[in-house]
Amino acid sequence: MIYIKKLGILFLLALCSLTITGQEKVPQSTLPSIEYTVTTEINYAGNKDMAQTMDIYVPLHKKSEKLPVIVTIFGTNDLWGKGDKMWAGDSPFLSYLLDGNYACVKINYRLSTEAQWPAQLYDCKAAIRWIKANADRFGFDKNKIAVQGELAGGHLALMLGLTSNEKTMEGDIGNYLNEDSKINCVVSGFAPSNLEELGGKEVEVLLGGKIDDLLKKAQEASPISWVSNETQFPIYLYQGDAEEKVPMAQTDLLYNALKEAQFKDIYYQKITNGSKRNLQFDPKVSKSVSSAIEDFYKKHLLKQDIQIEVSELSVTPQQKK
Amino acid sequence: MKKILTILICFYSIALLGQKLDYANEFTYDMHRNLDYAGNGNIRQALDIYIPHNRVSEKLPVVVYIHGGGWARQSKDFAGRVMPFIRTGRYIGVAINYRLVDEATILEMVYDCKAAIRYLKANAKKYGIDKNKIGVWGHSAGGHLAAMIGLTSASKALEGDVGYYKKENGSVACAVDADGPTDFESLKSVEEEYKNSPLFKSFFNNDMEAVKLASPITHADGSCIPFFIYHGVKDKAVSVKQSEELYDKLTKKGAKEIYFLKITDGGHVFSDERITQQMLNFFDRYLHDDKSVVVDDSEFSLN
Repeated sequence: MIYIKKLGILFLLALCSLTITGQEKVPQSTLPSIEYTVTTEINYAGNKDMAQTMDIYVPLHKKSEKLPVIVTIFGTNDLWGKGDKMWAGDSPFLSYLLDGNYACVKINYRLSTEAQWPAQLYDCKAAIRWIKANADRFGFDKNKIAVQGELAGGHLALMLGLTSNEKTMEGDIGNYLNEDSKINCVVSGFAPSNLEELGGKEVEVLLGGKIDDLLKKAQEASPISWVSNETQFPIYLYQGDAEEKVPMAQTDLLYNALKEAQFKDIYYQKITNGSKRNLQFDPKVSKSVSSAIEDFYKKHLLKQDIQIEVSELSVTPQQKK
Repeated sequence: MKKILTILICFYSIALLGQKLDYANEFTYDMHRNLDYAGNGNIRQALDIYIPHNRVSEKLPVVVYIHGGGWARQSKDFAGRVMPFIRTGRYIGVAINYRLVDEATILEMVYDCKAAIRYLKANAKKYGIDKNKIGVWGHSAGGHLAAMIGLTSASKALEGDVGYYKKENGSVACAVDADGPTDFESLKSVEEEYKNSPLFKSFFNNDMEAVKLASPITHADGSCIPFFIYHGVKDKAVSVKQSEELYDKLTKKGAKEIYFLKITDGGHVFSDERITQQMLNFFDRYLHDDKSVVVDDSEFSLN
């Protein structure tokens, strides 16, 4: 009897694995196909500036009615000086869309060549307020927003989190000033945390002058200045000692400050030999970072009881062809 | 009377200029990603479908984009190039992968592309595709493949046998070839460098029959489907002569709807709104059968 039951199930499985197309029977593909809706070039500032636009990705097959949102802020080797949301790529969040648990957003901000600090932060905050105000239209859970980014994008993500109770840093961009720009958690890679110490041309362009003349502004633009026990949220940091644009010391500094302020859910993944650039050539290491980030979102956005792995990681030097 | 005349002139000039491109405004589309057209779980044989929410009808023509990269690199994933067309609401966009030189010969790449076309036709109902109105366009290596698909559209011999959808065929309604190689024999003699490249060797291994078969120019004849070529005159990777040769042969053989747009100071990789506009006009004319739209292929300069 059990045997027959088993056979029946097998038969059913065989049937299910065939898609009937009207002409030929085609077996189910092993490729992970994904279906999602994209709304592109949404202007969150209520003007026509392409630097203040964003793209929204919502999976067609949602796991719940309201989805947590993962916001990506791009960052390039020119820090705040160059780039576009297009450059953030979409591979980092395809797996989130694939599992139907999240909506994803990629945002632009005005580059330092277009506007000086704190325009970039004001833009990011306006984007978050826009997301909250339009939560119903897209099916967002506006109380569950994560922000991720690398280099300048990581810096802005950290600033969003750390200044979320600072009215003076809110700005007045866009039409949704009734909303707040609070977010729930941050993932930041290779990000500047102390601009005074980082120095360099990019910082000067961002601030609009020599750092020595603009010390107060440099401090205001540094995540490290805003670390306070009263504004706590989960943070996942990753950084490599081969990163030349933003030295590892920048992240060490921030991590220590967060620990000192007794932040609870702080993870710091150090990568020996790692940099933003060479991480992409080591699929094994980049995979373990991205799956730790996935776990971070499962824990802090989906509230799953899960352990986040911080392990010894080392990038294998690239073989020259 | 004057008013009517003005309106008429306005309409006429809109028809001549084609519909204006839009890049800046909010726009929503559905993305069906990594569809397996060969049915064997190889991501290199997958395609993406872009469906605009502002679609103008239940059945839409399709613009298929074939990426470049010397048959050795790149993928469908950065296919912003179908965006201007789907934004109009009058096209479904498709971007395809094909096996690269590390796992396929150049003809097998053509067969992959044709399998992708057959997949679209077999699944036309599901996505609201008008299967008789599929256009292809590609740049560089993708231009070569688009030309091959376009020029061998009716050829049963070059259909290949990739995938499951053998009842359909890989024919298309029109094709755009941008900066694509068209004649491997002349490429070989003109460019020593190319002749000695491992790529060339792995493709043909001195098999001249294969060189001929994989050259779009071999298949150029008077019955050619509507065909749009554009090429930068300053292209150093693929000489503009490649496109001139193909254009000359097609016109000599009596093919009718052939366009050749030269960009005086264009190199191998560039994009310009004026080209996209003429491509949109070309697709509107041949995929929407709007014969009031004129395709302007007169040479221009980027600056």
